[in-house]
Formats: sequence, C-alpha cells, structure tokens
Amino acid sequence: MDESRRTVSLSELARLHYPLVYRYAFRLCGSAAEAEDLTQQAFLTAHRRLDQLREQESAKAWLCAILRNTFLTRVSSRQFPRMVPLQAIAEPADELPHDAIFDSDELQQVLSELPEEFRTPLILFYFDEFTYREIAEQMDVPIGTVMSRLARAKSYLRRRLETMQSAAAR
Amino acid sequence: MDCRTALEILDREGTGMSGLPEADLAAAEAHLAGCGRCAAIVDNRRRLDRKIGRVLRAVDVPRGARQRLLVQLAALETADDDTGVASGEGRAASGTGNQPAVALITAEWANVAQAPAEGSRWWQRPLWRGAVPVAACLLVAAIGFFSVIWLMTPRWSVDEVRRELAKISFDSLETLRDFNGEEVANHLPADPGWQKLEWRSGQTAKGLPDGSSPHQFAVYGFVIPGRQRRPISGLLAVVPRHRMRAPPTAQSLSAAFSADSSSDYLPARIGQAVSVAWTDGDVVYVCLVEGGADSLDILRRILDAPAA
Repeated sequence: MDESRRTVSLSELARLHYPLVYRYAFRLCGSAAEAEDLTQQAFLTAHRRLDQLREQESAKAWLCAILRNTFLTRVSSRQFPRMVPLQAIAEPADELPHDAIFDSDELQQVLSELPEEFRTPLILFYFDEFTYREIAEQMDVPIGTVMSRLARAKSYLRRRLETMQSAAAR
Repeated sequence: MDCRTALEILDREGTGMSGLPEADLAAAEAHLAGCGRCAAIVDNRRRLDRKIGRVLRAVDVPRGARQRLLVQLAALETADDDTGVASGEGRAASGTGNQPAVALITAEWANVAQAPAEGSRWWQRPLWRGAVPVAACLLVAAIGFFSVIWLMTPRWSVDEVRRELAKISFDSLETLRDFNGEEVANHLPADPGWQKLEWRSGQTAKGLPDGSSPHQFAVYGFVIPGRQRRPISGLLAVVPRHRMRAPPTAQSLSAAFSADSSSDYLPARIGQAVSVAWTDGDVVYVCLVEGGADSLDILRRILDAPAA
C-alpha cells in the first residue's frame, strides 16, 4: 500500500501529537485546565472528521487547525480587556538582549495581550514545527499576511519583554 | 540596501523557510557582512528567538491527560468498529482492525495504574470511566451473538410439527392468523398434481395454531375431492429446513410414500390421520391427511395422475 495513503486511527494521532496540541492550546488560552479541555474537544472533533484527513503527513497541521477553530468558537463571545490595540503592535521594538531573563509565565502574559490573529502565528513560529506556508494554510490567510503579522508580533514581544526587564531592574 | 530593510528581511528569514526572493536574501546577507551593527542585532535576535522558542515550548503536559483522552478515543473507536459507522474511505487503523486501540489501552494501562489517583473512588478514575462503555458494548455484542445463535438453532422435529398440525381444527383454519414469514411463504410443493386439490383459504398460508408465534412455519389446508366417497381433509406444513433438527431424508413426496415411515395413526382435530414428510431444497414439507393408509394412497394417486 502507498504509505502516503495509509490511514490511521485517531488514537495513534493522539499518541503522537497530544503534547504539541496541548502546548498549542495552553499558549492560546493561557490556562492548563482550559487547555486540556480544548485539546480533548479538538480530538473528539477530529474523530468525527477523520475521513477528511487524506494524508498522515498533514495530520499535525490538521489537528492544530481544528484546535484553533475550537478555541475561536469558544472565545468568540468573550471579551479580552487585556488585549492591546493593533496600532501598538506596529511600534518598532527596542532590542532585547538574548541573555535577558524571563520565564514562561511572563511570556504567556505577553502572548495573552496579543489578539489571536497575531498570537497564533507567533506560537506556531516558535514551536518550530511549521513553515510559513503551513501556518498560512492553517489560518487560511496569504503567506504575506502571516509574515507581516509575525514580524509585528515578534516586535511587540521583544518590546514588552524589554519593558518587563526594565521594570524588574528598578 | 539600508539597515532597516536588511534587518526586516533577515528577521523574516528566521526559519529559513520564508520563501523570500533569493536576490533579496543575498542583498541582505551582503549588507550584514559589511555592517557590524546589523550583524550584532541579527545575531542577538536569532539567539533571542531560540531562547523564546525554548521557553514557549516548555509547557508541562498534565500527567494522565493523554491517557484520559486515549481511553475515551479507544471506546469511541471500538463503538465505531462494532457499528461499522465510522468507515469513511478506509478508517481502519494501520495494522489490523482495531488492534492499535486495544494495544494502546494495554500499553497505557501501566501508566495509568502508576499515576496518582485522580479520584477518591475507583469508578471515578479515568480508566474505569472509559472501561464502562467498553464493557457495555461487549455485553450488548455478546447478547446479540447468543441471540443469533439461539435463532439459528433448529427447533423442530418432524414429529413435533405433526403434533402441531394435529391441534388444528380444519373448520377453524380460516380463522387462523395469516402467515407472513418471508422464508416459506408461497412455497407450495412444485409438483403440479397439488393443483388438483381444493385449497382452503385460497392457498393462503396460515400461522401456527396457537397464534403466539405466528411465523415459525406456514400451514395450508386442502381437501382431496371425491365423487363416490366423502372428501378427505389434509394439512400441509412448510418449514425452513434450517429450523428442523432432523430434516426428512426423503427428497420428494414419491420417495416419502415409498419409505412409508410415517404411516402411524395420529389422533388429530381433523380426525384420525396419517402423515408424510419430505425435504425439497431449503424447505421441509410435513403433510397430515385425514384417514389412514388408504387416504395417503388416494393422495398419491391423484398427484401421480396425468394432468387432464
């Protein structure tokens, strides 16, 4: 049988990709309990739609896309008062030294300030699992849009981390 | 190329998979080679990106979370296999059937067992929560299996069919429930001689005499007409062969007459009667005829007589 056409059970996919999908969920929502719930919901949705998965090689991106849709559906009616206006993201960043000290919680705090359309490409970029094109396909936007959003999100991230550094030093 | 453009291009090229034009990248790299400040910035950003990536990916997966999901999925996949619902375009797992799901349960069993208790009661633990639907599915499947076995088990002997026929009052034949079982409906013997008989109820098959299980076998009533003697009543039972414990060895009515193995008198509602039984393909016929051996002989002669 052609290996690319080999079909899989969702249990196999869960065994392989659960950590990635959970970490993605956690970075999207910022809560461990909600991340587990989101991940479970995404896999159950995937189970119902498994016949849509044509190639096992694209399973990782497919699961991440389902996870993101699940997240967006869940939060569509919520308000995120901590989010920054898009204009603020466009500001040029100060250079943060690579030996700056920051932890996972601080990083999550900055991520949670970003609107989802900027947060998602940033998370997927730093997960180092997908190309720009794959990120664009998951988000259903042109690749140029992904690169533009990513550049602005990275700029904002550096600036916010630098601000945190300065505040901690005082 | 100026510093700002070069930094923007190289920032986007972080993963090496940006798809930026080669010429732009080459120009940016050339700028970097001649600009110490930009080279330092790019180096710093790349190191920072690697560090952010490490911190961002360092998320602890809750212990037991994957196992909880796997148990749930295994139950769903087992249910799918049982019902044949989730086939799509080949949803069989790689390997064979639901083997991966079963293997996963087995493989994860140890992990779950070693994990700290997540509920104060054994039935609240994830493994048991998942096992209950699986056990229910297995129970339903077992009941279905044994029901099929029970239904397929032969239930009747020729003698039992004869005794059932003996309970039928010929006059009340028309009041019996119609037989609507598909297996033996419209299965009158192929022998054209049977057409010479007078059929009660217009050749409509009737159900079992007690009416409690109307679809076990079909019963027809007939009359052997006579000019110089009174008509002789008869009953013909048609039974699916697989419902018979020991189908008759005779393969035709003529062979059954020759065997003469059923000439014992039987007290029946239609009077003293004799019977004859034979097997024809997937159907067994049991015929009860009022009277004795002479009635059987009359029936045989009528059936054997050439059509007018």
